[in-house]
Amino acid sequence: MEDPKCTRTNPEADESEDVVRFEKSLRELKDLRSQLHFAADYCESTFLNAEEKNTIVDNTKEYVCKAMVTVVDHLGNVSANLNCCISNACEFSNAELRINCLKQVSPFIHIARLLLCEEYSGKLASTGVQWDAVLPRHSPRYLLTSITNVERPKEVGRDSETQTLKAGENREFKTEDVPLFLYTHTNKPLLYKSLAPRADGRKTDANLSIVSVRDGLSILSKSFNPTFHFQGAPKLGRNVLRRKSTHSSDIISLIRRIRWST
Amino acid sequence: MARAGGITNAVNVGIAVQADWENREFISHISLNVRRLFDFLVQFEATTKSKLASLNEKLDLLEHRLELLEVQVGTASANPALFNT
Repeated sequence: MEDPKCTRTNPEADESEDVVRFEKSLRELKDLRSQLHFAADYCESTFLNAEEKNTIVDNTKEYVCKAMVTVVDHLGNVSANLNCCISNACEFSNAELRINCLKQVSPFIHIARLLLCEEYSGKLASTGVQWDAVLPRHSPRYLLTSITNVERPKEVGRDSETQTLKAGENREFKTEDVPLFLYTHTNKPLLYKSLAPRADGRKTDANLSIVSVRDGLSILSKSFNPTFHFQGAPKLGRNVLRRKSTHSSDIISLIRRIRWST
Repeated sequence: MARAGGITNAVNVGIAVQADWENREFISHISLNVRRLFDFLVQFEATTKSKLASLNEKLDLLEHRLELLEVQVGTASANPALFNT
């Protein structure tokens, strides 16, 4: 079965016909209301004035039944017409299709959009190199010394490692700029070596380095990590124990010498 | 005689009671149908409102699309140099 709505040849005329039908049924319903009021008044007056009231009551009952059926019929007619008017969405779908076609197929708009895109891309290309927040990160050991002098855009928000590296590379250490604080950086595991007497009897302080405390210096922040060496070092077995014993003997001898010197 | 009159009265009362019950039944039928009619009207109102709301949304969407198309056509027609290149 074909839907009669879809096989309509002239939808505008059909729509106007539906609207006319709906208005007509609504007008009939309104007229029925006044007729029912008039009939109710008539039945009441007749019932009061008549002698045989049973007949009047029976006639009134029949009329009420017929009026009820008529009201239901009119209401059904009105609702059906209104439903037909509302659900007749072919016009809206047709308009939507037309608008979509205009939006997609319209050649002038399409060409204008393409040209605008090209122009905008040309403007973007002519602006030159712009700062990019995502720069490639290279390890400082792979960087040549010649490229350290190349001016780079100011990097803000990079990691602290590169900042400390730059500070260490670009800034020369000047004693005039050294703040009042001096820090004696001693490598504690090598303490016995630094204070160990040389062959000529003098104590060396080669490993005793004096470093100023400055912001951004990575020398102080980088501490010796013994666990790293332990991870990479092969197992020594008994030699480790032997070396530990030598370490303890050296420390004891060192303490004795300090006591003797004092 | 008095007995026959009493029976007649009783019959008349019975007939009147039966008629009263019939009338009550009729009124209850009518009131029930009126209630059904009212329910139908309420349901029809709700359905019609929802359909009209959906139609309103569709019309708004179509209106916005038409406005967008109008702006695009106006922009393209205001710059004829774009078509000459």
